Amino acid sequence: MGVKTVLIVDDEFHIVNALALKFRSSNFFVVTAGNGREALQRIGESKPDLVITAREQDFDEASGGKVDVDAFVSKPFSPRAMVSQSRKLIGARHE
Amino acid sequence: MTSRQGVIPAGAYFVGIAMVAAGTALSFQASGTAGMPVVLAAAGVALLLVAIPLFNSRFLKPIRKLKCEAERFASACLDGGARRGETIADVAHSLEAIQAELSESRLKTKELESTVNVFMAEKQQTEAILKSLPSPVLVTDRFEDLLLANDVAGRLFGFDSMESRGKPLSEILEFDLLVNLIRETSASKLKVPRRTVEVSYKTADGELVELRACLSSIIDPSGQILGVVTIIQDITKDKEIDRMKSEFVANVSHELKTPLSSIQAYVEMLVDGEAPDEETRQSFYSIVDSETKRLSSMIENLLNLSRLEAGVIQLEKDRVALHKVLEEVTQVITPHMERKSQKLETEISPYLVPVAGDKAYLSRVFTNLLSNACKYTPEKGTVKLKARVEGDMVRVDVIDTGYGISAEEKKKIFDSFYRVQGAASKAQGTGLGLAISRKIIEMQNGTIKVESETGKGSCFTVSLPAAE
Repeated sequence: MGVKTVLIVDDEFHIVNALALKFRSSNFFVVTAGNGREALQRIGESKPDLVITAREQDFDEASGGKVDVDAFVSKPFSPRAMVSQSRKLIGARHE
Repeated sequence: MTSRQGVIPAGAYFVGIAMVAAGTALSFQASGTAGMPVVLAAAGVALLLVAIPLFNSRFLKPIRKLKCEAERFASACLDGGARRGETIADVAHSLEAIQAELSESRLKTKELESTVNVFMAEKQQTEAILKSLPSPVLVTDRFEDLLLANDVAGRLFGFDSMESRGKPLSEILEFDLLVNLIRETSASKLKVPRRTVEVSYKTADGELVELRACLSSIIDPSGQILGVVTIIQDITKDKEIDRMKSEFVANVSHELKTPLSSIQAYVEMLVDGEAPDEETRQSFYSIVDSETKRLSSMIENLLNLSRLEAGVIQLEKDRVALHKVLEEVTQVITPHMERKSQKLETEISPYLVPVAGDKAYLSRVFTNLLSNACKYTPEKGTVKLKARVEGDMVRVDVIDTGYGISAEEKKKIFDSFYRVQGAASKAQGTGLGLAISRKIIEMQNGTIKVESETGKGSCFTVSLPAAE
């Protein structure tokens, strides 16, 4: 599995920053966005393998539809567990 | 009842008998607050059905007998003589017996009249009780005709409660769901002949109301269902309060989890050795520290709001020199504004009169408003603070040149935990400041409102009553 791209979307700077640090140190390429509209733009530019967001409602509003969600992680979360779960999700999709 | 007699007399007669028996013994199994009075009224009406045949047999029958006897005797005399062995004395004796029977009948009729009067008075009393009930009540017989309904029921469902009596329920009630529920209850053979159902109903005005209908079968001692009592409760407001409570709990939970998420994430990275150098470690410690304070502040604000709303905190009613409060608040805010190179312009009228209120809590409101203005105004922007007397009120405006609030968001801005779209990325906050401010101002008989235009800024206006 080569370097995968993950898009992290949240309006809480500290949460985005913590996850970005953790994913980068786990050999992911990280793109970030502060809201749904910005995220849709990043998706078009970077074609991420996975989108992590606590704001799926923003996506629904920005895209005008209902976004498909693969998994839910409730707050407070562990960045370590988040990376591990992301690997599983990407792996399952590539199988 | 009369129309029913015309259609199915036998059925009406038996209903009447059964109701009287049950009403007299107070043994109806109708439930709910209006059940018994309603049943008594029904019993009063039903008594009339019994009284009429009774009157016929006790009073009219002897008179008819007397008339018949006299006619027979007169006719016999005219024909040339009475029956064999019959004398005038015999006839007189017969007449005496009839007279005695008649006297007894008169006495019984009086007793009956008195009983009818008692029942009529009870019926009127019951109807008055039914009318005074705040909840709509419908009573139907086993043929699904309306026996009784109060005015509240008539208003809710759009029919005349008096004129509709005796008419089929399906004709007067344009609410098939409830009509069917009453039908099912009437046909029900369940051991507990009572059910409570929540239904939505669109009134004639187009308003959607949530109703809780309690339907009880009226059962006579032999177990026969005589009809249904339906008591309606408008639970629209209760539902709205429940929804708000759930929303509030969800919001509280979400908002408390946000700083907790940051704390957990940075602590975990520190434990995992993800911070490679001392500078990064220090920045992580600093984030954990600030997020812990934010969490603590949220809990404190939440408790304050809760205490204010529960009336645990009582505000003082002092004469407060508002210009002094505003001066103190600007001194606190100025350093924060200087850090963002913002300008504060103040226009405080020299004729400002004292207001009636609690100094400490008023100070808290204006600190919150000025702090918000500073947070949401970009660097080098301007914030204005104005205060003047308007009639018997003192008006304070806090005007910023920030991002502004859309018309839709203006409706929610004073709600707990509501934060303007994208606000979190611009400034930190608990989402409780304006909710607390509004509560404080309202507790001091004042008002707080906002005027705003997206991209241009907002003006928060507080009006407080001048002290006497």
